[in-house]
Amino acid sequence: MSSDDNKATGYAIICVDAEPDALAALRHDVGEFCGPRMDVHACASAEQALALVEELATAGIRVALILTEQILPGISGVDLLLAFRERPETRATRKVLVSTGMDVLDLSRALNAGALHRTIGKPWTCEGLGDCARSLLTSFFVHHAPHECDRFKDLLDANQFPRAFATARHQQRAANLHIKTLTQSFLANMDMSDEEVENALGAGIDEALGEPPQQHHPAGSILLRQGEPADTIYVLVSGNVQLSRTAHGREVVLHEHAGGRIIGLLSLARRQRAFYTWRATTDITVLPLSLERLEAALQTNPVLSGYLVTSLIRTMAARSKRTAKLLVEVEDLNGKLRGERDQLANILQLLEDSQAQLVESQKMATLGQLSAGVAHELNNPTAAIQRAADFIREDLGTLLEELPDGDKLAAAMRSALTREPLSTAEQRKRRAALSRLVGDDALAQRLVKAGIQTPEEYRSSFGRSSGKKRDRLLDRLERYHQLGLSLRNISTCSKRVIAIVDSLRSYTRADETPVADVNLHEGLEGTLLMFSHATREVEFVKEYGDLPPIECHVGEINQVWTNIVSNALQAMHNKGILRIETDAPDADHVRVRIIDNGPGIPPEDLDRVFDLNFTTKQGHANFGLGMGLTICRQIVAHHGGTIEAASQPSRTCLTVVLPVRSQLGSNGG
Amino acid sequence: MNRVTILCVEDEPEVRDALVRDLDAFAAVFRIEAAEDAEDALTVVQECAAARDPIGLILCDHMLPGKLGADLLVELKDKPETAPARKVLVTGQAGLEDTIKAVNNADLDHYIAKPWTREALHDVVRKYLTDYVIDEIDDLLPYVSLLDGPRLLEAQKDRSPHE
Repeated sequence: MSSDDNKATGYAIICVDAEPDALAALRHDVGEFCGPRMDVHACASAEQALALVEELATAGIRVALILTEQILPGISGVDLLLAFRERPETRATRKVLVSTGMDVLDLSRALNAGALHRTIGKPWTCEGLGDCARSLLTSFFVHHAPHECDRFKDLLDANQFPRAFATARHQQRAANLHIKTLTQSFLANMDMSDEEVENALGAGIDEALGEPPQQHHPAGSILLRQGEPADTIYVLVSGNVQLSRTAHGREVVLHEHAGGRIIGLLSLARRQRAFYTWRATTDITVLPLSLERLEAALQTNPVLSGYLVTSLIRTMAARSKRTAKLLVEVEDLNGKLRGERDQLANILQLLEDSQAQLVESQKMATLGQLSAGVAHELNNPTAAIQRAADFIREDLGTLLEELPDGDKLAAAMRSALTREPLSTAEQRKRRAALSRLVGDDALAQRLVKAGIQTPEEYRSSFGRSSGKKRDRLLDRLERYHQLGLSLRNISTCSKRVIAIVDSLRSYTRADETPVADVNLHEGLEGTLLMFSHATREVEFVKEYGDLPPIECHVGEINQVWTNIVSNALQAMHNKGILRIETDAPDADHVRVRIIDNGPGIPPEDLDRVFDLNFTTKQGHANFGLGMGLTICRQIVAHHGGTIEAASQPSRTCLTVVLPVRSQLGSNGG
Repeated sequence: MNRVTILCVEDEPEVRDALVRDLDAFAAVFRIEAAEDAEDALTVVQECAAARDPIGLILCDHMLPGKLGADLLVELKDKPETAPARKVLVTGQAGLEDTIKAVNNADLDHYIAKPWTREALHDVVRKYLTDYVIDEIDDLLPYVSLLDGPRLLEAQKDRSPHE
């Protein structure tokens, strides 16, 4: 019978994870999404999944979706997906990597083989997983089993399969409401006071059972003990009883008054052991009743049932009121605990931040040494490349003089070397104009490649020649123009490498003694270069004034720029405008302003941004104003300069003023 | 006849030159267009649409001025003119997160790391253009010599009897 059922389903989903909890969760969440409509299989390894595929294929079941963790014992998740891609029966299966442990290499390996449709990070959300499954199942069925779309329509994307949803849930809600109304009407009818109800109940029982014997207990005696079987009910005739429970070895009084006169009924009715310990706080008189005797009383006088229920409900109401009060007290305590925990968390955060800062500055120092070394090594090959490009150009020029049409070829090459490169839009415009002139799009394209960009250039190169003759010349012009282009690109790119090397060198000059004649702009440029990987969405506006060269520790001053720029970029979330302005306010000082358009620092916090471990509350100005600016202030002060912060929303400005002739010499030299 | 277009988006002129030149082999059959940023890429898409030249393949750098290549590909996936085009990221700098974004949201087909070789580039271009023309173009014969001939002939054979 089960195999018939499987055939009826016809489609399966496979989840793979070596970690049992994660696998169970994944299977559960996928099952939650697709319900009984599809078999969801769980495998602890790729090998198991491949064996399962074999089995399913024999039973005629297709795998619509596989979700696998990347890190598995044996065959990895990516290799499993690749294996699925290889097998004809699982080629169409939608493939998802659910993982934290993947890298670009794994990802591109699967992607490039067409063996990856989605990735889901851990922890996933039920919703995200459901959306992913829905979207992939839709594409699976639409493309590979369109005749089944209708059968599985509630698992597929509603936009592609619109339909009315039956609202069974709505009907259920109406039924619940009905029951609630019934209960409320029962309570509303009971308009007697508590005492009236209890007196009526006591008297009723007395009467029905013919005044049964009562018991007297002194204060302190225990009627029922927590955890013992409850086989007797007591009707409290006089005195008071207290309810308590033992928890963690301590007795906690939960209710000072029983809140009613029927004791132990709940436990007895549910055939459970007593939940509370019942202790007399005064001398008491009780009427003990077995369940059978109570039943006999109720049968003799059916009106008693109503009293009993009302009395019980009121007892419960009184206790639940008390419970609610207790809950509030517990909540208060929790609140205090939370406050203390948050404080601890804040302190921990501060510690982590400072540690991260330390690690970061250590990293920058290591990076500095490393890049200084790399920069040096790069200079030689780059210089050779640049020289070689020049030599090739010279030699070609000489060789061209000996060729027929050499002047035209040399001109084609030279134009590539000297012309300002055009924007792609302009290139397309000129190509279109040429195409109109020669009436041939492909020819126009070749002309552009030969460096012929305007109708005038076309006429001066070819005159009236056409056909084979023109084609031969065009072919040669094209080659020489492209040669020039390649040479120019070699030169441009090697110049760029040299510029990068220079910036790195000036950035990382690790010098112990102050250096005179330092150009601050070089350090600023080097700093910006270090951040270029993260600042594609930042617009830099530089207003560099005329600065005299100054005397300073280059590495330290560059550290100042790095910390300020790093803070600014964090505040801007790496988006927006960063202005860098330099000028010389007087003959003895230079000034650098770094201005970001981030959210700004509140005025009350502004004075403290240079304090050690200052962070603004509420995470509003959420940037690591921890040690970074403190270090800046120390360095600047050491140079005899000043650093100030000013801020309003969308404009936070850090101003550094340094003396042209530092006082370093007198201290250090 | 309308030509299937290969669109290269790359902001650095030297790299763009090299990429376009490496695609020369395809110029006999395909229209090859270069764009220097996202905005320019959208202009090319419009120009191609005006000329009724469908875009078959987009080779896109990741670090574009003002916008990430992955984001541009997501945008192009949502445009009817470029939704069917195959999408390839050509990059030295796309990290894991951006690549995941492109896979999940732009149906990224391939990831070429810089520096590329002409051979590898040709393999990728040939494979995805073959996929594209089989899915989108009726007459496959003009593409047999440049793209994956056996696959195209097979596909053409399958489709002839039905029509």
